[in-house]
Amino acid sequence: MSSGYPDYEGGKQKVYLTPEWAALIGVDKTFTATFTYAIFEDEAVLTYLVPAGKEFYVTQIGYSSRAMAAADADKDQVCQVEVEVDTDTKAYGGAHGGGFIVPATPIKVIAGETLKGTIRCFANHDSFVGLAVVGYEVDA
Amino acid sequence: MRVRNFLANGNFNHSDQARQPDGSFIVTLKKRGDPHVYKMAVRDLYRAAEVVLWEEVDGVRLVDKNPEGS
Repeated sequence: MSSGYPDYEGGKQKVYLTPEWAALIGVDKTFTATFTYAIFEDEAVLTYLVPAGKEFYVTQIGYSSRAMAAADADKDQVCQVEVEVDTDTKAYGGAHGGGFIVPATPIKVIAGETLKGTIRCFANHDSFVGLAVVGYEVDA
Repeated sequence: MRVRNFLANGNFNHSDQARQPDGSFIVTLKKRGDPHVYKMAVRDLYRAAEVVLWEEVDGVRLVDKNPEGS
């Protein structure tokens, strides 16, 4: 552009939210942890040490708990979720069957810090529990 | 340590950690646009005592150590 005006065509410009842009440029990350045939107090864990020069932002946390056997399907499928940065708890969740957390402010994890997500089974029968932590990583 | 480095560099879009009965984890890494699936079994991830038990790419084993790390 020689005119000095922004290089856009009318009607084709778009403003992106950061997570949306992160997915577009491929720096989004999803971490999952699962435990099949979990029993009371069994837990699935995910961990991630943020590399040097990077920052990771958690934007969504989703979790699920269900019975492995049809005979247990109508029982309580209770699970509890905890998301920590190093040893500081940043989010708790818990529900019958699962749920999700969308932090009003993304949870920031800087280089050298460890993101840890834990889902614990609190059902009294064989269960599947799963946790997904979604976010994006950018240069610090 | 190709898969371990992949995790350390953060050069992936999806990570799954499946806990094994012996306390180790199988970590699966995928990157959008990369057709390969990177897997490793690791014990004590990110700790001083960390041991990578094996690594594989697309099911082909890269490192095959004794599960006890000896």
